[in-house]
Amino acid sequence: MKNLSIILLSAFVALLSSCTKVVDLKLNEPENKIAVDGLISNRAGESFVKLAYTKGYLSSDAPEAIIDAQVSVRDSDGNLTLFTTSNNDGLYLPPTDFVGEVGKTYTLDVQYEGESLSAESTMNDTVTGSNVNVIKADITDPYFEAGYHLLATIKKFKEEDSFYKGEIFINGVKQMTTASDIVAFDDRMFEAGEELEARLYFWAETSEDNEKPQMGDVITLQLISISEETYEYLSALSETPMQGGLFGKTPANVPSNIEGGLGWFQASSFGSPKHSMVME
Amino acid sequence: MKSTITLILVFTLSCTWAQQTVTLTGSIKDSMSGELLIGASVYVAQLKMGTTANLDGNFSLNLPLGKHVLEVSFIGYENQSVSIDLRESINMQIVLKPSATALSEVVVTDQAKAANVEDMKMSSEVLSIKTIKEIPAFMGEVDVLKAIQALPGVQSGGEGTTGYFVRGGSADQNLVLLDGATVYSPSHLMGFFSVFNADVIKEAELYKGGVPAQYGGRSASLLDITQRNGDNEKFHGNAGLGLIASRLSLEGPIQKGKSSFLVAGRRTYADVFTRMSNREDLKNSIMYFYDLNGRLNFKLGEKDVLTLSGYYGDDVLKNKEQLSWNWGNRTATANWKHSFSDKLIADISALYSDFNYTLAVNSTGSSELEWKARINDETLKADFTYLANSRYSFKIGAASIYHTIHPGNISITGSDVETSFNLKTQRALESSAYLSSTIKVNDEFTVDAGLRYSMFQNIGGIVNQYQPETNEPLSSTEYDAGEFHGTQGGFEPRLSMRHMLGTSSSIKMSYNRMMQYLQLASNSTTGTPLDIYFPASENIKPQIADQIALGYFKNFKDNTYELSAEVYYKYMQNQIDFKDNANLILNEHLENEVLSGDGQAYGLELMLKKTQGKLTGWVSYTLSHTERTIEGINNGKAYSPTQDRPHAINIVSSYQIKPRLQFGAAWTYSSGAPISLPTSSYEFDGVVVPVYDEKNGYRLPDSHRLDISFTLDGKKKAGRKWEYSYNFSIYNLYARQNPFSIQVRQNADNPRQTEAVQTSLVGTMIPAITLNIKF
Repeated sequence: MKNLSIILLSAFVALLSSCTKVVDLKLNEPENKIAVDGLISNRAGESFVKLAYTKGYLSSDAPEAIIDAQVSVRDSDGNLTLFTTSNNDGLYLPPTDFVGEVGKTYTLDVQYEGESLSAESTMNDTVTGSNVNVIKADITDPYFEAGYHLLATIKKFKEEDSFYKGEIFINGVKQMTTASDIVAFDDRMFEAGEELEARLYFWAETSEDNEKPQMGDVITLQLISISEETYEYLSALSETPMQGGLFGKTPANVPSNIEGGLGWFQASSFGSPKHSMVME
Repeated sequence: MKSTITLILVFTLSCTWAQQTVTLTGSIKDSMSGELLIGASVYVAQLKMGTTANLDGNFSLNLPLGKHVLEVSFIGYENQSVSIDLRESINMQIVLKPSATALSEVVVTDQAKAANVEDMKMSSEVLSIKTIKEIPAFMGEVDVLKAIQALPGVQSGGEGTTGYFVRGGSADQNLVLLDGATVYSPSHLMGFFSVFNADVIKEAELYKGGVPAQYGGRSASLLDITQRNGDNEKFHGNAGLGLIASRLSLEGPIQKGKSSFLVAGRRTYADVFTRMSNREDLKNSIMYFYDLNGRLNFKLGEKDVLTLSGYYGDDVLKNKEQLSWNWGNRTATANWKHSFSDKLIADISALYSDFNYTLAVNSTGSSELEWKARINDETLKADFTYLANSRYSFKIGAASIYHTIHPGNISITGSDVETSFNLKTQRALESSAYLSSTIKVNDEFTVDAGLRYSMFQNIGGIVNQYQPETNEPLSSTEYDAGEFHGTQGGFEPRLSMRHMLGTSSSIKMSYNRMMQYLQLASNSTTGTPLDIYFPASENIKPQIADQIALGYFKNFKDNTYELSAEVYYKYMQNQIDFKDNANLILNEHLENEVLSGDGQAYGLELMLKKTQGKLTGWVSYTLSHTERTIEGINNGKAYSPTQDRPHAINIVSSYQIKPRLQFGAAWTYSSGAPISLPTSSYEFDGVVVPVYDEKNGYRLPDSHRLDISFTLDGKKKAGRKWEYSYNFSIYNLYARQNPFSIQVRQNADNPRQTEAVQTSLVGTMIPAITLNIKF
């Protein structure tokens, strides 16, 4: 729906002389809260928990990291793993051989200056896509906007619905700067065995050369199987740039699964990445 | 003994007096077109008695036997004196000639002129099409809904939108009727234009309060728009060539003097230009809308009038082969008016309305998604008016609306996939009955009291019971196709009182309760054409608004100036809002996304109107406040909904510079709409996540704008059968960039840096020229 709104907006606004400008605002500065960004991955070396304070929205300072908290994760079998920090950057890591397992539920516990935060998330079955394709559309293309489009075919492999996050890389560089770049979708409308075709990412013809694929570049799609809750969090987050605008939703806080704080903790499983080379 | 004689004497006297009174009834018509002139006045100067023609164009007066001189008048027509010698109750037809001169030179009687003060109505405003046409229009397209927004107590939904808010109510609390049929989505092109073609509209009446008992179904306001009848004397037409759209309307007699037709069409042609454009991206984009209107009017004998009318309109938007989107309204009205006698009139209607949209998306080039949704109503309605005498009149009636809502059907078709997803169709019956009476207690004091009962029943379908915090139903009940369930209803009392203070001023008071059983599923500030209404049910209680209003009305300088001041207080129950991030589109658990609570609104509305002379128009000021308190939103604290605009000023004027040249100007000002802005943030996967600590805690900057227009009538030539005029208008004369929204975002070059961006939809002045031809 996000893409649709953008298409409509651009089509409509083309006929009007609408204009935007950056304005100065005076916003309240509420007291800081602890925010969590946590991931349990099925691959070694990828799990982490990051802790920082919230900051004033328009402040350009880096978020203040929380460096001496006690962070631990317990799985549904009762195994406890301690996450430790070494660089004073608020990043807490488990032992290097730690891997999350599909089907397990992970519970996060954070203790800091008498405050206690907790969250839980379950890791779903791994998903993979097939037929990853990058196509280039020029301005006369009847279907596509001018630019590069990443198309993927994904087979719904079981009766239960799956929820997906897509991470896209150009020559190994992750394409992720703002919330609009988040790719999250589901297969709720499909039956088991059916294939869904999705247009997952778009680089406009008008973007700078270093921001769009070039001939010979390798595009990688990493599909991640996420929980329904994580999907809802990511969808809400991906819509935040549209909030309050034409057709955008009423601004609201994105959900949080952190008891006692803000942010999101997820257990997600990474499938094998798919590659495609950009050709004319 | 003596007292008995006195009593008998009084009795006899009153009997003889009563015998000497007879009823004069009749209708007043345009001598050229034969159209009934609603609101035309009949006045007997000798007796200081008078009345006005009612909605059906009929009037009724109780007069003593003998000779009388009737003074008949109507704005825009030459006055006429009619001498009659009454010997019995009679029915007469009076025709008035349209005055050749401009409005400024028309002389009307005290009766009609003082309507502002003497009429029972308050919190309501009738805009004639003439007034509406004098207001400068966006791209020259005359717009009823824009005119409505210039009235006190009515707030615009934002620049370029036809959505409006009345006395603290939300946009979906306004009932819009076209010839009695509901129009669910009264705007074109995202709200820049309204669906009402000015060429076929007779007038628009807005009720902000004091709504008569015969109307209901929405809790904030009623906008009753009537199409006019075609000329039943001779054939003619109107054409308009505008910058964005062209119009054509034709009318004439079917059977001279007895029946007439009126057909009209309008279409925009921006797409014609974009197709010719050299810009490839524009070439493949199509965007247009069209409207078709029609009305047939048959006079069947002396006592019956049959009217058939309808509307059909669509918006079409297409972007390459990737996306096509169309949405539209259809309405149909069959109305039969019958007078059983001079005193009893029946008004029976069968109505149909429909709003639907279809969206087709082909985002991958090989499989297509088609999405359809629709709401339609079938209505039967009967009203009976009984004019007992000059002091009492009664109205009784009933209506039943059968609603069918298809909230969304999606189908995906492609080379190797064929799947569909349908939300359950919802059906419901909304019924009402009412009785109301107008009692003239004495010359000063008149009471209008009514009682309406409304009831809403769901038919068939599934009802889910939800547990908190999840969309998984706890249990669900399935009903048979014809089974009624979830019945809710209530009494809606209506009361209006007027007390004259001398001849030129009055005070009025009104109380009304309004119930609403349908609401719009919209989680965006502006609404989109993908929004669809959903019904009250076991999970959703009807919205209730109780409003009390008090007003003072005074006319000055022989009714040249009208002053009105009103205060109101409104308490609203079961007001709905949606959970944070609620996804309302294609959500089968929509009812579980709704939160409800209470609201209140109060305000002061002042208006000074000049109705005669070369310069006419009004100045209005509104001071108001509205708030909602809903558990689960804004931590349960009261918040200002988007329609809360504390101050609003409107100046609307029309000036006849020369006999052929007219100038119009409209200036509007209002406080900015409440918006939510994030106060803090955190980072997630490198993305800045906004954190809000209050709902609608900030406001957009104030909005204001000046629009002007000149209308130049072409020189009339003897023998030429057509006339023309040019309308030249400038929208947003001083190019104000009124804020439409303020959004926050990450800076593209430095993602950690966040910024606030203000968007204005119309950031410049927009001139337009329209050629209007009458033939």
